[in-house]
Amino acid sequence: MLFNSFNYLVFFVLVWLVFWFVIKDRQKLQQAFLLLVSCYFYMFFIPKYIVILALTIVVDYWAGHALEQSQNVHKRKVILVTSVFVTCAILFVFKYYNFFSENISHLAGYFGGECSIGILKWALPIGLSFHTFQSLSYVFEVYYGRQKAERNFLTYSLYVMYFPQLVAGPIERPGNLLNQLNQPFIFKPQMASDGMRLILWGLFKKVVIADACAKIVNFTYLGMDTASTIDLWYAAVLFSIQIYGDFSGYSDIARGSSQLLGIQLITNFNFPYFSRSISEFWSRWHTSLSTWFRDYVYIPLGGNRVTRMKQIRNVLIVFVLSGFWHGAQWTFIWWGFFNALFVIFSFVKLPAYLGKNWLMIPITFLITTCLWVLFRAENMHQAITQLDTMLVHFKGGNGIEYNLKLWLMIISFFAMEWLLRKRSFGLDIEHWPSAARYSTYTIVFFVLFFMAVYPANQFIYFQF
Amino acid sequence: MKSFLIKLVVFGSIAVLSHIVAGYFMNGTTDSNYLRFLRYPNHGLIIGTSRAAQAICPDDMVQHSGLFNAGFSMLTSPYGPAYTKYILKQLDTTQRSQAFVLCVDPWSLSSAFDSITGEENWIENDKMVGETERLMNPNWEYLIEQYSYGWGNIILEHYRPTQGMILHDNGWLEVQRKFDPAKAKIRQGGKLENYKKDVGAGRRPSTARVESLRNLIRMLRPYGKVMLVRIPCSAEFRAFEQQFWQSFDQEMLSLGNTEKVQYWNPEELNRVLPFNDGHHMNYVGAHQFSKMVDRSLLEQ
Repeated sequence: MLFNSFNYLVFFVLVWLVFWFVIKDRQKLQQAFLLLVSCYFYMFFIPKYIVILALTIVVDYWAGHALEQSQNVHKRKVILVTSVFVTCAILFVFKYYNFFSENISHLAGYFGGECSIGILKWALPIGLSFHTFQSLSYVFEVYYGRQKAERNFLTYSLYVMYFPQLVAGPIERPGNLLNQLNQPFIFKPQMASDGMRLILWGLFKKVVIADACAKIVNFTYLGMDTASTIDLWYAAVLFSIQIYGDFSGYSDIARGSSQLLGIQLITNFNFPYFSRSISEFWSRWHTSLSTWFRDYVYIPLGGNRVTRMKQIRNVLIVFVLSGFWHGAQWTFIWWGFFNALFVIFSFVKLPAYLGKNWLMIPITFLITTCLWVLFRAENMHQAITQLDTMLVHFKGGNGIEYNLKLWLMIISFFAMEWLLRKRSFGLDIEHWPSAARYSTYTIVFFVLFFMAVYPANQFIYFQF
Repeated sequence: MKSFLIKLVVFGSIAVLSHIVAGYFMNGTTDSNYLRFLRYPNHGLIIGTSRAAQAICPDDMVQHSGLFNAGFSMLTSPYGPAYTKYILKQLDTTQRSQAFVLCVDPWSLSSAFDSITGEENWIENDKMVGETERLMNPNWEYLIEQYSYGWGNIILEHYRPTQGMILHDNGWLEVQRKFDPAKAKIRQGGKLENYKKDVGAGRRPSTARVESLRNLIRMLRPYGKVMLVRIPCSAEFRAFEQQFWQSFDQEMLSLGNTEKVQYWNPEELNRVLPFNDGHHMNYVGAHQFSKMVDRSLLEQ
């Protein structure tokens, strides 16, 4: 069930009405209801895969309890490793097995041998990487003693399965979501109004900006061999805008839906394209993932409090893992690697005037755009060919029709985000006079009404 | 809560009202498929892909009036179970003297196959023909689930149809583009390249689709005349199709003979009629060709 579909609208309105009007003020019943509808939401994709999710929940719920009850350092480590192993094994089988199988086979072929361990023809459970990481964050927090183990299995299951963030995040932490689920649900008008604004803005980003960009990007990628340098730059820039609109739009709708149910999810994006360096970009882009890697990989490896060489190693490990988290392809691994290089480069102290210069914003955007080429490409060959035509061997011609309406929307979108960059999202206009506020809502609504595009494709991050 | 609900109801009402207003503008300009999901009384059907949709105008078929053009596109309506199900919904089973023109070409009878499992990809199953359950007027199911734009676009398209594309009430898709041989040649180059590189490379003839076509002929025969037609395309396109499926004409001829229906393959028209892109017939050519189909059907 996609957030931008009629099905979701009907589903959510019914859930909201029952939640606040039928079972109001009965916390356990409200929790059970949310869990039930979350199961329904998940089963809308591939129903049988709910068993996999259940396995992750049972294992990590048990691990949380076992960790809390045990004082023995060795035993606690064994429990942690068991939990991480089982949870990641599921992820490995569904997401990474074929990647390793194919690469082992290629490697054997390279050395003249033969090694075929077969291919699994299973579809990837939707959002697997997201709920695996969310479940693991609970185990880590209990292990480090920052979170008490959850007694109620239903509450814990809801923490992993809570539908607004189930399939593409934000990757929640128990300190935020689990603690809110344990409080009585109270309707807060201010939070609900913010929720509605988030949904409206998220829809605008997804169906007006991202999906319209996607049409041109996909068209260019179909004719990649004949595309000129200008075409490829154009497609690359539009893909940067597409992926931001798509993923941050999804996150906004997720947060908005959740706020209408009285639960505040963590912020996932903080105007990332206004960053002045790649390092800053990563502190603003998909922050629920980058802070996950920071807290559970980077800091345990020593973080910044080690020698410069080890710090570089830590950054490389985190970014390569982060790339691999996105997908079992070399393109993602190299994407992570090159991002790491740019972050490492930022260790070099730049002159203060350069670090604050507004020119660093478009430069950072262009670097990010080139790196997204790796992310979008179907394989390394395609990525190298595109980057080669974009940066080295220029090719003439121009096969793209420039869409003036789309650019008007893109410029308005970024202008709005720039104007509100100190606020929490691009339509956070609660402080505006009511006439300006309601006029803006009306304009956004009618832009959606006239210009929305609803292709059959899903949100990009659903595949992870 | 009360004040929030009031605001919600006000904005919700504006949203619902806007959509209802847009609903009043639904017609052949809405998109190139909407009208085919309404229930129209007809005396027969023209069946096929986008070639059929653009090449046969039922109003020109004076000897066989009241036909409805039910052709969609290569991705949406190749011969197979989903399209057959749709045709059965459009079929008027109360009449026995109807006419059915089944347009065939290598693309409507071929499929892509999974490179690992070898399974045939019934691509149309999760497209509009496979997914839309009901034909009704107006068809809200289609608009909600298949219409790919904000509904305000229905109003915009009503006043300014994209690229002059109009779907007539009889199902004929008219592309109102003035014929320019030079531009048509450029478009043909791109189209042919696309078919050679992407469409043709990933597909192969499908015995299951041919079988579906055979079953469809058998299902339609009790209700009237059935004819198989290979719609003309440019000579260059035909040459590529010949390369893709060498025995296509013989197989269709044999199918026609076995099922006792005519297979009409007016190959000589490939060099006579004008095509927008080598693949789809220009509207001027469509008027001429429709009359020929009408005459040929009369000879059945």
